[in-house]
Amino acid sequence: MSLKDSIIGISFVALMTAILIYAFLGYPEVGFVRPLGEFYLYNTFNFNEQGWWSASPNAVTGVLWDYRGYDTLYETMVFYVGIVAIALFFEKESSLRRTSGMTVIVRATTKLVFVFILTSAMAITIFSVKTPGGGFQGGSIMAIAYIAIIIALSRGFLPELRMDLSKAHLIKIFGLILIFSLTVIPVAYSLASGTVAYALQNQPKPWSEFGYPTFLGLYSLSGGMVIPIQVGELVHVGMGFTIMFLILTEREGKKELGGKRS
Amino acid sequence: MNIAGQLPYILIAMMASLCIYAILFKSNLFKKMLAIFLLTDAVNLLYIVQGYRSGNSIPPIIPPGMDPSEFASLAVDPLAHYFVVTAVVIGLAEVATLTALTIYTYRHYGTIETRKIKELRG
Amino acid sequence: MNVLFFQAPILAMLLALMGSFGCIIVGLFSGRRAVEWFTGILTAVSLVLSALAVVNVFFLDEPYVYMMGGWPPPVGIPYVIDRYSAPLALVVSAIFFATMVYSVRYIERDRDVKWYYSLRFLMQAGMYGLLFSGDMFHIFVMLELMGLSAILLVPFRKEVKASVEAGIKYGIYDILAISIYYLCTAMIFGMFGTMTVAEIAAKLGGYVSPFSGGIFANTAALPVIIALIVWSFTIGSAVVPQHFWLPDAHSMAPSSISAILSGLLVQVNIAVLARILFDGFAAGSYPGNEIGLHALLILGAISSVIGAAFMLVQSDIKRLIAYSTIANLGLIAMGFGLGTIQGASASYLHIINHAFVKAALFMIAGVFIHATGSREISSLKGISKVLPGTSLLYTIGTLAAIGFPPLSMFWSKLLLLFSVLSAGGSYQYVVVPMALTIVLESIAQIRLLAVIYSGEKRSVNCRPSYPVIASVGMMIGIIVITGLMPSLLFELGGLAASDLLNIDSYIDLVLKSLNYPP
Repeated sequence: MSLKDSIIGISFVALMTAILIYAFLGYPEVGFVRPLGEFYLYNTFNFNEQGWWSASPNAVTGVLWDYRGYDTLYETMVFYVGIVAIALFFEKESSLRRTSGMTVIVRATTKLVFVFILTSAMAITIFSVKTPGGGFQGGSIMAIAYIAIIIALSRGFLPELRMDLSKAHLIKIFGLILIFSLTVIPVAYSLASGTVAYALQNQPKPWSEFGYPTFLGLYSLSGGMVIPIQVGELVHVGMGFTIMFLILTEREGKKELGGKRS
Repeated sequence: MNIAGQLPYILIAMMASLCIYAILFKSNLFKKMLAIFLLTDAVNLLYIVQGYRSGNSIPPIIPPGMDPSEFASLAVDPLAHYFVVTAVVIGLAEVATLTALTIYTYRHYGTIETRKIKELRG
Repeated sequence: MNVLFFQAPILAMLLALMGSFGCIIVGLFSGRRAVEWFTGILTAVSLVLSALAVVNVFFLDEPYVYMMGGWPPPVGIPYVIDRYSAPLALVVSAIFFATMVYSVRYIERDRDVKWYYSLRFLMQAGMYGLLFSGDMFHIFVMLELMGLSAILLVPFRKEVKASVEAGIKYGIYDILAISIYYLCTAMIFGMFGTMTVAEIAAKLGGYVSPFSGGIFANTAALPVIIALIVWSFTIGSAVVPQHFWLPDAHSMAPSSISAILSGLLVQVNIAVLARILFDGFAAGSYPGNEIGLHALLILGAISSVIGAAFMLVQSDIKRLIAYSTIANLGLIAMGFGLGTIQGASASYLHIINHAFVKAALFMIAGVFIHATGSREISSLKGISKVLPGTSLLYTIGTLAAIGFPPLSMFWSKLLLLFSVLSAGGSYQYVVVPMALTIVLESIAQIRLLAVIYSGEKRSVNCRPSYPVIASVGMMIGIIVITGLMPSLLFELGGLAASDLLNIDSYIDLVLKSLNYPP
C-alpha cells in the first residue's frame, strides 16, 4: 500500500465518518421505544382488541409472520436464492455412495442424537409463539443434525437416514409449498367468495372477514397460521443448509482426476 | 448532550465508514466480502440500539397474565428485532452468493486480487 | 369492485413466486420441455394478470392500496397500485414473456435450465415488488431478491472466464448499493419511526400518526439520508461515476438475460428512486430536499454524455448497446431531476420505450452472435445479405433507439427536450448535454447499421428459429405500434407523472386506505 493510497483511504474514512456523525447528532438518545413498536407490543396478544392482534405472545414472531409477513415471505425466497447459488455453481451429477464399516453402536447412537436434535428444532419452531425462536432458527438447528453427521461420520452415512440430494431438494420445496399455500388461501377465498381478503391474512379483522383458526387445539399453540408457516420455513431452511453442505463437502478434483485416467 | 447516549451512534458511524472504504478500495475479494457483511452488522447494531429500552426492560414476549399496556411500556422494540432477523437471513444468502462467485473466480484466474483480474476493460 | 381485478397484481407476483420453486419440481420429475411449458404458461398468465391490473386502474376503478396481510399502512406493508406502478409492471411482464419465448431456443445448449428459469421468476417477483411497494424496508428485501438473482444469472455460463469476472464485479457493487440502502432504512427508522413511504412525506408536512407518532430526530440529517439513498440507487442504475459494472455485466450475461438487465433492472431501480424521492421525501416541497434531484440532474447529464461518447469507441456489439443504456439512463435521470411534471412524464415514457427498445436490441444481438460466432462489430459485415429479416428488425430497433420520428422513442426524447426547455432558469442549459448525447448516440448506432449493410454475402453458423423471431417481432411490434399513437403515450405519461408528483393525493391514498379507529 503506497502513501497515496493511505492518504486517500484515511481522508475517505474521515470524511464519511464525519458526515454520518453529523447525521446522527440530531438523533435522540438511546433507550426509548418508538410508538409503532409499542403498538405491536400492545396489540400482539391483546384479547380485548382482537381486530388488531396477531394472537402470538411473542411480538417478534407476530411481526415476523403476521404484521409484516409479506416481507418474511420474500426473505425466505432470498434465502432460496442463496441455496440456488450453491446448487447452480457446484452441483454435480453424482449420487451418494453408502459407506460401510460403521458398527451397530455408532449407527444407533448417531440416529438417537439425530432424533434429539430434530426434536429440539421442532420445539424451537413450534413454541416460537411463546419463546424466542422461529422457523429460521429451528431450521438452522435441524441442519446441524445433518451437518454434524456429514462432518463427524461421512456424507455416505446420509443414505442410512434415507436422505440424498434430490430428496433434500424435494423436501425443501414441500416446505415452500406449505408456506405458499398458506399465503394464497386468503386470496383464493377472496376470489371464491367475492369478498375482500388479503394475501397472508392471518386473523379476521373488522374490515376483512377471512381468518385462520386462532388456536391449534391447545391454548399455548395460538397464532393461527403462524405455527404451520414456521414449520414450512423450518423444513425449507433445514434442508437448504443440508443441501449447501452436501454440495460443498463433495470432494473436488476427484472427478477430473478420474477423467484424466480414463 | 449526553455522550453515553450518543456513543453507539458514533461507533456505528465509524464502523460503517470503514466498511464502505474497504469495499471500495481493497483489492482482495475476500476482504471486500468481509466488509460487506460487517457493514450489514453495523446497521443491525443501529437497529438494535434504536429499539433498546433503558431501565428494567423485558424481552418482547408477553408473560402470562401481564396487562398489554404494562407490557407495552416495559418491553423492547419488536420491530427493530424483526428487521435484524430478516437482514441476518438475507446476509446469509449474500454470503452464499458471493462465496460461490469468489470460488469460481479463483478457479478461473488462480487469484482473488481484483487488480490482477483484468479480462474485461471496465 | 371486482375481486379478480383487485387481486390481479398480487396474483401475478405470487404466480412468479410459485414458478420459482415449481419449475424445480417439474425439472426433477420430467425433462426440460416440461419446465419450458410450465414457465411459459405461468409467464403468460402473469402477463394477462398485469394487463388486468392496468385496465382496472385506468378504466374501471381508481388507484388503490393493497394492504398485505390485511394490515393498514404503518402497521403492515402497503402495495400501492396506481397509474405510475401498474403500467411499469405490465412492461415487466411483457418483457419477461418475450424473453421467455426467446430463451427456449437461445439457451438450448446449456445445462441446468431449471435454475435459470427459477432465478428469472424470482427476479420478476422482485421487480413487481419494487414497483408496487410503499414500504422502505420491503424495498430493501425486494432489491436483494432482484439483485441476487441477477448477480447469479450474469455468470450463468460459468465456464466462461469473463462472465464470472463480470458476475463478481456486479455482485460486489450491487450488494454494496443494497447495504448502503439498508443503512438508510435504519436511519429512517430512527428518525421517523415508520417505514411507510407516504408517512415519511406526511410527517415532513407536520402530520402526527396515530400509530407511529411524529418525528424523533432533527431533520437536519435528512440531506445525508437522501444523498446516501441517491448514491445507493445510482449504483444500481449505473449512473456515472458508478457505471463501470454495467458494460461488463450486461455484455457478458446470456443475451436473454442482458435484455432483462438492460431493459428492466436498471430502470426499475431509477423508477423506485423517483418514487422514494418524490413521494417519500416530498422532493421540492420540503426545503433541503432538492439535493437528491440536483444530484440526479448533474449525474444524469455527465452520465449521458460519457455513455454516448464511449459508444463511439466500442468494438463489441453488446458493449455498444450496454453503453447506450448508460446514456439513456442519464437522460431518464435528468428528466426526473428537473422535478417538473413534464420532466417526470417524459422520463416515465422514456423508461417504458427504452425498456422495449433495449430488450429488442439485445435479443437481436444475441441472434447475430449465435449466427457469426463472434461479438466483434467488424464480423457482422454482410450479415444483412444472409439474415435480411433479422437485420430489418434490428434496423427498426436501432432507428427507434436513435429517435427516428414515427417510432416510440422519438416521442419520449422530444418530450424530454421540451421539458428541459420549459423548465426555465438555469435548467435550460441542460439541453446541451442532452442534445449532445442524442447526436453522439445516433452516430454510433448508424455506424453499426452501416457495418451490417456493408460487405459481401457470408456464411453463418445458424439461422434464428421461429420462437426467437416471434419474440423479437413482438418487441418491435410494440415499438412501432406505440410510436403510431403519440397522444395515447402522452396521456399515459401525464397520468403517471401526476400520480407520482401529486404528493397529497399519494398520502391520502395510502394513509386513508382504511378508515381505522383513531
